[in-house]
Amino acid sequence: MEPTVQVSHLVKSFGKVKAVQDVSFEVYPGEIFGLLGPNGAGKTTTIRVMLDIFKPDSGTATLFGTGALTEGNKQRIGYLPEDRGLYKDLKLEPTLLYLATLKGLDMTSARERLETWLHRFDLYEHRHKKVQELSKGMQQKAQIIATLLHDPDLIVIDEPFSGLDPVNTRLVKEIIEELRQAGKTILMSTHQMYQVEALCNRIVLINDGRTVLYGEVNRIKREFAGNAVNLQGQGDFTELPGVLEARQNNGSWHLTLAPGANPQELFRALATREAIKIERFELAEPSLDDIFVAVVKGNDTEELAHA
Amino acid sequence: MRNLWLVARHEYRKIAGKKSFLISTIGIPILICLVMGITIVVTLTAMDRRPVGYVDSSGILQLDAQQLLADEQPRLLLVPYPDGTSARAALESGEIQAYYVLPTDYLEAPVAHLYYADKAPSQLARQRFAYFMRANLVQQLPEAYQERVLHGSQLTVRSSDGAREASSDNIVDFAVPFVAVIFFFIAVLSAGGYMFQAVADEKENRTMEVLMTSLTANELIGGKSLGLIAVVLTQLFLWILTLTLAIIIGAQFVPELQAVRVPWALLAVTAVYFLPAYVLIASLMTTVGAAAPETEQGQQISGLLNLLFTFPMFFLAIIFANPNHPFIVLLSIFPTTSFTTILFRWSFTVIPLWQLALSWTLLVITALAGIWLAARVFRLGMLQYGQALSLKGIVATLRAR
Repeated sequence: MEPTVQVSHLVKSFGKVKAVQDVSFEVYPGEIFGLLGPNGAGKTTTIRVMLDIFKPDSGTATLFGTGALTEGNKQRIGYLPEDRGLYKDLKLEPTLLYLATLKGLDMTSARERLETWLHRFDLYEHRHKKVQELSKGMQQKAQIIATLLHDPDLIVIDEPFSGLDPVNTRLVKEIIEELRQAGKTILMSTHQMYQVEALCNRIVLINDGRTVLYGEVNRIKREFAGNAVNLQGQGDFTELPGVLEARQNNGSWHLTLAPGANPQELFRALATREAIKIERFELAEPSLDDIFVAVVKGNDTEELAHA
Repeated sequence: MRNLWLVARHEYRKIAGKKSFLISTIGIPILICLVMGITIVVTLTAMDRRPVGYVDSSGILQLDAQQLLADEQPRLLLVPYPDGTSARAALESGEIQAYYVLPTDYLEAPVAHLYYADKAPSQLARQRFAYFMRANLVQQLPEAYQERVLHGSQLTVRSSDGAREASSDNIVDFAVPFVAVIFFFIAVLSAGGYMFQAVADEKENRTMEVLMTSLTANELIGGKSLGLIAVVLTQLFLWILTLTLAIIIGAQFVPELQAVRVPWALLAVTAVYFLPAYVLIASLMTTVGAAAPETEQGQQISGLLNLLFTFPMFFLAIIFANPNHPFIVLLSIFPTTSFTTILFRWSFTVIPLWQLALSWTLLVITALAGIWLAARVFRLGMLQYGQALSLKGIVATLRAR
């Protein structure tokens, strides 16, 4: 199967700041792909280069099999930027219709589709309001409508759940899943790891502008098994050697280990401390959150990228 | 092409829907109507249409001399009286607003006496009687001279081919350049500002990112320029329509306005220059909006840009006194100053055709280059998100293919 998105060794600098140093990944039709990374890692820059908003210094970004983003291909893209890109001082309905017609829809079809989407997102009654009069969550829903109204083949969504309450978060998740089932290519960038875990088939993790993790979520989790432990006991479990992060929850502790750290060695170290009493110690299946922390916080991260 | 029109339509609706635009668009016609209304009211209230009487002891005034003034405005009835007593009685009864008395030796000592009750006769009455006097006095001259003496001299400068001329006769020829330049600057300050603001705002609120996944930079900038031109044309149409209607209606009440003749050639030149001049400033405003990292900084630069277009205003005295001075000719040809300079020169000289052709061609080429520059700098501005564009960076982008 041909990838919809093919990013290869992308490099982009702004003056002396190297925003993206070496990022590569591919995204295929019918998958939800997670683009992850800490703040300032280069995610948004990667997306902007991919969408031809920025030109790369080197490397390539290919969409739909072509390097140059043609007008026809532009109409096949739906983009939800992290900062909502809507005219604040215009009314909701004409704004969405304008953006839809720019994507090649005729006005009649755009109106028909818009009515359906407005009803689905419970915005129909607010269609005559100015965008700035809508709540943050409503604006986010409006922006999602603008992204999907023209039925794009490639959907790029940057923090799609930002500002949404649990009910609307669930609605957006349902819609993303529907789109995946319809064979659309979805590239999602978010900090909400549990959403990535629930939705994404594959991910790429970028840190300091470089690809540090890339592949199927399940495989990555298997590879990182043993990098986290759950334990119960008495004493202070913070500041332990080889532990990147210690979280306490309902009397239990969840420790994220540094890459290369051995759980057995940790257990032995704990056993020798008199101030600590261990009641339970078990290997935990790492969450993406753990993996994210392990990779990003681990200063001596070894090269983990997989082609 | 479709996207270009969509952007133009959207931009038109967006700007035309703004309160500030509506205020400036409707404000000017309201101002024109107000000025015309006040003029009419003042003229009507100040105008006493009662006849003016006269007692001619010198025997030089013939009532039928009024025929010479058949086309003259204003019209007012003149009534002869045989003596001062009957004229005074008519004045006291209110039949006439005033009467003149010409003594028997008027031709030797040309002094006439004006009598009125408590209010001096209107300007109209005095003007009318002066015409009447002149018409009588010229009757002794050959017919060929009568017209010349009555109406004074008229200076008309013609081009050697006779196709174009500048005349001191029509006051509108002098008024149009001023009105056109005022309209131009109001349009530049309002709508040109919208263009700058639109680009700067879209850049700041990141709407630009969504647009750039749908459009090319050329479609976006070209569409915005087209929309803006349509906005300006709407504004101008409304202003000129109001002005024309005001003059037509006003002419029914204000005699001076009846002499107004439409200077079609000057209006045509105004129209032909206005559009490219406007496109040029709009594209330069867009360039500043795209290049400036912050709106405030951009506004300061756009103020300097306005100066490039208002520059000829500082040399009005030279334009009037010496409209063909090489420096003024240079201003006529330079793209940012050509519109204003050509208009002001138009009333005072016949501008050679080569100057018109050269300046207009340069203006159009510069305007098109301005759009191209705006699109390129806009594209560079997108690439340099949140950072000020260096001159070096702009030049490098312009040279890139």
